[in-house]
Amino acid sequence: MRQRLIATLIAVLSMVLLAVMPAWWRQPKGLSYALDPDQFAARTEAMAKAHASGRSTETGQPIVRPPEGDVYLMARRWSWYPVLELEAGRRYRLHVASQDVVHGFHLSLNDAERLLVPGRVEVVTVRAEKPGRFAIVCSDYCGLEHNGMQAPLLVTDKP
Amino acid sequence: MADPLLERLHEALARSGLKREARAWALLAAWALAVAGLFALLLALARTPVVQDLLPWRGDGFFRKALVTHVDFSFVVWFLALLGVLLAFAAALLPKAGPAGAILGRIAVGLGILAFFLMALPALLDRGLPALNNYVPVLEDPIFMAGLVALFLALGLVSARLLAGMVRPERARDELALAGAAAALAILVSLLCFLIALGQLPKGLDPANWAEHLFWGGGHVLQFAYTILLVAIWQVLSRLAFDQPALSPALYRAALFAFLPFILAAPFFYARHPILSLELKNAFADLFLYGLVLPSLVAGLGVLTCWRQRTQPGGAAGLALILSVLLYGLGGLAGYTLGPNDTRIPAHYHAVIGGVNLAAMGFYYAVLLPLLGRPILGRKKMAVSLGLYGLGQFLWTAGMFLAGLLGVARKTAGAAQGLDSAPKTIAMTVMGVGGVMAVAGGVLFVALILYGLLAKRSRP
Repeated sequence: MRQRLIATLIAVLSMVLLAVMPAWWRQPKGLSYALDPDQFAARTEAMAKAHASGRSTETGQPIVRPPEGDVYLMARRWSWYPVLELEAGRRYRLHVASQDVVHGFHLSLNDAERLLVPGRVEVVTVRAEKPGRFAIVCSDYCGLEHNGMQAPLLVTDKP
Repeated sequence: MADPLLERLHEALARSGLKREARAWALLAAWALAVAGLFALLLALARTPVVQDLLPWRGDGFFRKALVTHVDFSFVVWFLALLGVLLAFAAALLPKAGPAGAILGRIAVGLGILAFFLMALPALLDRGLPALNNYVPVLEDPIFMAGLVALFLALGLVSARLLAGMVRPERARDELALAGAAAALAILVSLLCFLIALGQLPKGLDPANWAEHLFWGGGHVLQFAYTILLVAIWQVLSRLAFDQPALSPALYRAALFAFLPFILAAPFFYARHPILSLELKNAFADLFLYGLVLPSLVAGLGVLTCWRQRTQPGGAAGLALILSVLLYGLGGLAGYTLGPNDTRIPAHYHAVIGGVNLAAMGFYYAVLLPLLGRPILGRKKMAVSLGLYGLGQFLWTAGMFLAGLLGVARKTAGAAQGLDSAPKTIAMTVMGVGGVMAVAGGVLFVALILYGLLAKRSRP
């Protein structure tokens, strides 16, 4: 009798777990919009030119220190362009998009994750309270060097 | 054959004519591990100075192709062929298992053997573009893809055969038949997920993206089939080792039932979320978190209870069982503490897979070989293989997990690992020692079962 009761509870619990699983009601996070990859590349390039502050010895990419507001980050096999240097305590709208194939975006600072489908731009709000170095990694398999597709997000004190 | 379960299975296999089919799947699974080991050796040789110049293959291209083939044989072909054994057993236990089913089984085994060669050949011929995507890594090559299709078709056929034979509920009494039916359902649903994804993926998608998103959903559902196999093996081994099943009939049915809602829900995710979306990816990840834990926890606790109440040592079956439950449990716990891209991820899945492998090792030693009338292997050899593999996997997992906690990135080697402190170096050394032990145990296991399956029959 006791065994049957536990068995019934297990069966009922499995149905409850199925019903409460976030898979059914999860909605896309944050804002996203359609934009041609070339146009997005032009915006990113313009930001990089206007606010370049050096070159990363680690990734070889330019380091860019944009002002608070809209900033751009481009994913392409197998790197992130450019390296962003943000100011602690400021609020940024990070526009991130893929230039070539499907990539995943994961930022360790706020555990933000997005799937980057070419032709769509994902917008992530970023605000770091303290200076530090945070990891941006590709979280969707995109080819043989996928695991090496990493870049730092640098957060510094006010100049 | 003293055990009533084995006696019943032995009679059923003889009556149904499915014994040869079961042996063929068991051999295919064993050869899959042997081929995986061969490719692992080639991977090592391809990076060994001087020796690498003697090989007919050159460069990084072959290395990646060999890696894809190694992973597919040690994970996909091995587990699917093991499921072939379970499905043959389950079909034999049906009251009306007959010649038509046996013919269908022969066709499926033929497809399985064909798949075996088609999937192994391209890497050796240095053909195809490798994609190291999740669950079913592939070579973008028509021969390899034909092999993969043949393998899935083979398992689809025997799954459909079993479910067609179980349309009346009164036929689903035997615990192996029940597990077989649940696994068959998971296999067919995973194939359905592959087909839905194939239909929904946009044309012109990059091959790496295509493979990742094609196999993501169905790949998750296939893990349910492997876990059902695990629960069924625990149930059988517990009876053999400790003289009582891990779960009472009612609890066992409930544990198997608990998998089903999640398996059946999977195809509906494709209607709920776009194929290229984070929401769809996470929906399948939810399946694991919400659907796999409860039944495997119930079965694991059942095994541990039997072990505590044991009145006999348990032999190889008992050793395999306990190591399997502990390693699987450790892997499950590790799954709740994963970082985004460090070595805790491989620590988690290697422990879980290692847990299933240990159960499968016990299944070969205590069930398959005696059932097929093959020579009984030496107890010491069986224990050594189980101990080496089990302890090795524990060390491997512990080392990898600790290294991940300390920030070592996954899938890196050499200087890229960033082993800049003594604890990191110690953790990775523990991992390395464990890896060597696990490989030694695995090689001994493959040698023993191939000897057992290929040697002359002993008296049943």
